[in-house]
Amino acid sequence: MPEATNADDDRRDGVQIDLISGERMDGMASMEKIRMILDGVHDGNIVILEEGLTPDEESKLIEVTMAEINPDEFNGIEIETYPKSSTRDSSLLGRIMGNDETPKKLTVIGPANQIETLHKDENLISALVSRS
Amino acid sequence: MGLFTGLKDSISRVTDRLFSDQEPKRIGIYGPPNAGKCLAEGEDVLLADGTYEPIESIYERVVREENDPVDVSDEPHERWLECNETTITVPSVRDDLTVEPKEVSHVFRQRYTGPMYRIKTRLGRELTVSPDHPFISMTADGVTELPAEELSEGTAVATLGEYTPTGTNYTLRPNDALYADGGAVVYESTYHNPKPVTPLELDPAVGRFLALTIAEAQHDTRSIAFANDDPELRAEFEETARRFGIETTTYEYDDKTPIVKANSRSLVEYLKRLDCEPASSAEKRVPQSILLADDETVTAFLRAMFDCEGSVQGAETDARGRYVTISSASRELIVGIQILLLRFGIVGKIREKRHDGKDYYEFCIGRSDQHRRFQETIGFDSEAKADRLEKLCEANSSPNVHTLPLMEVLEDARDALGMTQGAFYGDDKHVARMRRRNSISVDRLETMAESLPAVAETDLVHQIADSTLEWDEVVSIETVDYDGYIYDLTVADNHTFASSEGLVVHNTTLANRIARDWTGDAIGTESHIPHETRRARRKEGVEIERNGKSVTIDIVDTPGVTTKVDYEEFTDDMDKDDAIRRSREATEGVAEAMHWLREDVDGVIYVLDSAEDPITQVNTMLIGIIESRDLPVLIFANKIDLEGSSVKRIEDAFPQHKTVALSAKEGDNMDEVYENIAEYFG
Repeated sequence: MPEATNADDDRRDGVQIDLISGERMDGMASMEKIRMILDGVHDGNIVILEEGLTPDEESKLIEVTMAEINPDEFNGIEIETYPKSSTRDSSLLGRIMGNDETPKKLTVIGPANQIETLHKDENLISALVSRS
Repeated sequence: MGLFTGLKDSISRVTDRLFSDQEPKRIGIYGPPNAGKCLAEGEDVLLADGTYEPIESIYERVVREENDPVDVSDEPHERWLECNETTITVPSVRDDLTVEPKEVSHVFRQRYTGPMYRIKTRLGRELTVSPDHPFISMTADGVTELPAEELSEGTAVATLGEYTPTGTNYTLRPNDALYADGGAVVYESTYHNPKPVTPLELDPAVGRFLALTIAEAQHDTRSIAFANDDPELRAEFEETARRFGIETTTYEYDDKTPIVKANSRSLVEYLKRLDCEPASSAEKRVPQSILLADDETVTAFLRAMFDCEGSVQGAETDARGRYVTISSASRELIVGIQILLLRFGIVGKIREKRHDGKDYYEFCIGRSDQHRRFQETIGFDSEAKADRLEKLCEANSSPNVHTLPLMEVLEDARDALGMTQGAFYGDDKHVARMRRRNSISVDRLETMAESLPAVAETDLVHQIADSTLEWDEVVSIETVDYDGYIYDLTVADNHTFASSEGLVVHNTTLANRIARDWTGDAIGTESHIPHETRRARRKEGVEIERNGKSVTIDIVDTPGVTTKVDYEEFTDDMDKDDAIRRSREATEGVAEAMHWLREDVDGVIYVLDSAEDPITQVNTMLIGIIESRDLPVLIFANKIDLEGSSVKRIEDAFPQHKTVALSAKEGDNMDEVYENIAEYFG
């Protein structure tokens, strides 16, 4: 459990937001990142990643989320990133370099029943967060 | 279904796969979940017995009555239940435009957030449907199923113009508040000794009594007070109350409408058994007992309603505005009266009016032929109204002038038959103008049908002339934001049903609804095994041949990808265990789809609805994932047959990939589809 997560008794009547730096993510393995995100979301937190996930990690995040969906407890996540710029370079080099070349994008993840995206375009995400 | 059959022609299953020298490529079909073709909650559906029922209540009835509900849906957020033990019969329109009762084979429900369309017609019919939901329309091509989002102002849409109920007997509703006392029934009271009432069966006189009660009475939980200036109607109310065993009291004050009051809790409770509940004027409706009654009782009911609340307008003038009307604060009551009048082939317009800050609904019968039919079948007891109706009927000033855009089809038919304009249309004068405007009146088509030969070319003319359908016209289309359940029915054979207001819609069929339907066929899911269909389906060894190029692929059709699944969306109509199992299947299906994407597919066909914004989180994320695997990807921009579709929007969103435009439903552009599959995955 990351330090950012408060113990239950500390929680007041609000929504906790964890802003996770790219630096902190750099040293972690894919599954560690996914675990950290989902643990946070399970606790009702909104997790904001400075640098987002790689596509591979995104696909694993969906897969693990699906496996963890549990009646009455957890019904999934809402995830928002800026849509990819349409002029994105998909050069051969980029593809060979694979995941490392993926643009780093701010990503917001939260419990599906608490977060609702209001608007999103290439440089703005507007979301409504409610208490559970 | 077009894509299905298109693919059937072009794709053949390879039976001798064992002998092929190379493992076929495995192509995954991915895409976001899709919306079906549905009616909004609260929309009433007309049933064959003459009653109507909200579509969600029909759905819930099936959930309740099926012992072991069979769900043939293939998406986790949908329920598509077979009606095995439940019998629901609806009036349904056949291809030849005749109306017949048909059984509902499936009921459908899904959760939906997004735009819906509220359609209003010239006859005042209203219906809220999902953008894809098709109406039976008349276009330049003839009878066409047109999705709501392709309707425009002026589009001709079918409404029921006549309809004979299948005649089910009404069963008295149970009422625990009453107990039997000899032949009478009495309201059970702790404090009083209420007077018993004679439980009269529904006959024309009782039908009229219900009408007087609904039309003009203050009807509450204790008494029915009938207020009317006409002494004969007051006498009639008094007389029928006496038959019930209740003596009424008459109140007459200066300057006020006289009142006859039946002060009897027993009578109020007994009328409930006939489905005539105490109601405020805005909540009144035609009781089920009347909707199910014989024609004689219905006639008596309607006549009394029109005696009280009806009026005849325009009898003194030759001008427009000749109407037989009835008004009420309750739209449902007006709709019920229209349903009853359909038995006699009488159609009217529902108009909304505001008076003294309140909404009123007026039902107007405007056509001369229908005034005469009203006079023959319903009429008035009131002499003044009867006289005015007589005058209206003498006129012939309001024919059925509704026009249909059929001139091209008709001119083709005339050419084929080698007939002159005069012989074909029965008139030379107006044809040029009719052609220019591409419009011909229903009346003229009916006249033409009398002299035109019955050959294939004139089928449509004869069908329209013989049909009891009314051709109404769309006057407004409004987009409404919707968040809730939407519903649909599948009707055996004809695939059409009607709203309580008479609008005829085409239903969803399993085949044309499935969002990525051609894959459904390619993958072959004739056996609808519940719980398995919601998982991904595979079909192996599909061979596609194009321009001498041949490619054999395995197709994996995955469920719509999402990041959330809430089992509570399923709990309304199944128990918790089933709902949990269902949500589990859904999550497993998506997890599997993700897993395969990383491990087990050699290429991806990504199917998008070209009528919707392609830039969604799931789409961008999935395309990103596919790109990172370096998999060849073809984007299918489906539903290009829809008006709001934009292939360019998809191309702009994903310019790095080849986008193929197609319409699965219409089978459009299939050659390019096959060519691209062969080229990309060969």
